[in-house]
Amino acid sequence: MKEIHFIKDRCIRCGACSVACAAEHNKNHHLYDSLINIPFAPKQKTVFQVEQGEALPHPLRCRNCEEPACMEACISGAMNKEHRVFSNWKRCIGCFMCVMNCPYGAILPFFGKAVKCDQCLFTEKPACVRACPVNALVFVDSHDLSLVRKQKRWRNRKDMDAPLLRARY
Amino acid sequence: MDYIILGNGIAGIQGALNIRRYDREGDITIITDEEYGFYSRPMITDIMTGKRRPEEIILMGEEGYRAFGFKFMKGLSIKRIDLEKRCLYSSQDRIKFHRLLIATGARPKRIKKHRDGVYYLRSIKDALDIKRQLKNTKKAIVYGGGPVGIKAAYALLSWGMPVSIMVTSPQIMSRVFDKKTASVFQRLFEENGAKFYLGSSIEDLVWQKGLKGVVTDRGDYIDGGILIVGKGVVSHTEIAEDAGISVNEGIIVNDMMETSEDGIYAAGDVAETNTGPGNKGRVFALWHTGAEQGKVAGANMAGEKKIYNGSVSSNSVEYFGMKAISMGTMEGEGLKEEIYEDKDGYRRFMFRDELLVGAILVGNIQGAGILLNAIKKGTPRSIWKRDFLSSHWPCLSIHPNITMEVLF
Repeated sequence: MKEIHFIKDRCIRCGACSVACAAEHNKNHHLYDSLINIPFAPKQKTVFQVEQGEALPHPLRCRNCEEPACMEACISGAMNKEHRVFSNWKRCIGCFMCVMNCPYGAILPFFGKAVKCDQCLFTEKPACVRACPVNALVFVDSHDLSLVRKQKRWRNRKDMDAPLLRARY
Repeated sequence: MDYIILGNGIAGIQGALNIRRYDREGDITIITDEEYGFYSRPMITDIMTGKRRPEEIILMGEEGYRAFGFKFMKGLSIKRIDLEKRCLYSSQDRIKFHRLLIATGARPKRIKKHRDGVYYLRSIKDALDIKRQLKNTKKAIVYGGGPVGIKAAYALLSWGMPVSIMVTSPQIMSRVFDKKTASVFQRLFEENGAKFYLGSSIEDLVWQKGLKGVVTDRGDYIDGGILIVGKGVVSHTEIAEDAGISVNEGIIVNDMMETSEDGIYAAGDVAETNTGPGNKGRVFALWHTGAEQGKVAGANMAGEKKIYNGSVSSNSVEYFGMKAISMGTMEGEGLKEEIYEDKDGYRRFMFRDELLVGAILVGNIQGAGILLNAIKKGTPRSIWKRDFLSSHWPCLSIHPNITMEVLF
């Protein structure tokens, strides 16, 4: 199964992924709307964030664990797994047991609901991957990535099979 | 192989699911004395006020049991376990088993002066009883300032009923949160119409054709037509004790969730574990610990080897938009505390010899899971940078030349 992977050596901290995520998870997929509807901080309407700071950038991405701790801890049956872990907002009651139990910090407590990366379910590639200008985020099979990592090819920015795509807008 | 699971809570269901994961053939029977499928016990307060119907909080209906091939027997109470003949006796018939999981859970602690109008909150049936009584009541009294009592009070307040809350200790949620957090919540509740009677317990019930009020030992009279008691729970161990399984506060289990008898397992609110730091003779009565224990018990019952590493007691609450999470130990000898406060929230951490052992996060709770994982794994403090506690994103404050993999 394809997953979003982060190659930290390539990242230049531009934050394009966060912005693309905000746009993608908007009603009409338009960045302008996400800017005027939701002030960027503290209620950022993204499910994918990159911290800008002195520390290493680290995307909060869901690993789609085999035995998801969030799913076991969910008291309302909102967290489910079918290939990917997803949060059903109709059932979510905002108790944040999942936030407390996710060891990767990948679930965010926004709008009184548990918000998490849905890997842009209905698109070919997630928005953050499409937006990344340096291919620091790639959407590949974990096995393929580990092969590339073994050969230490990831240091070359152009080598990964992840062509630069322009965002749709 | 015949597996029998006594109890239909989260521990029992996780046990059954994990047996099915490793054993596709065996017969799995789930026995419960309640009338509903697997439902979410923490959400019964919504049923009490009529916000949700009982069907809406059921997480696994009859078709779910059928899909996994579980035989579901509801409304059946088991009287006796025979360890030698390996069977269970109900009032009519007997059921044979090879391996048994006891996940009978717990029941509420009862108060001495029990009369009509005094209610406990544990199952859907209790919640429906309370709902019936609430129709002809104008004011409610909640006894107990623990998570159950406060949650019930919150449900009633948001439904629009004035509530008086009686707490035995000098602060609310004394075993979960510290003084400061408790006072934040207390103020929120008071603003929304609750009245607190701290440090008082029940002296007498005023009863005249129904409950009229309560007199506390401090001499206060509290007016109210219903008394909801949330004073903690006791494990349901009688059936195991009669069968000769060693029982202390709960059923004593080893790190594979097996009891003193071969092939008999226990998990959830009924199990007393000894694994993990500081968990000597500890009975957890939490949802996610039940899930963890049930998972381990189920895997071991199916012949897999899985070790239970101990849980960290943790709680997450959200009342009137204020989120708070508490985890680990907050009191004890040799603990150093660190407090960080800003406009977003309040964070308090407890350390023992450079190890994070406890934390309370109020307001901003992002990244709480990472801290809980750090407590569980015993991650040394040296891998964190200086600002990791004050940062909202603790995972980002790991020292640059240490990879994230240390944590997981």
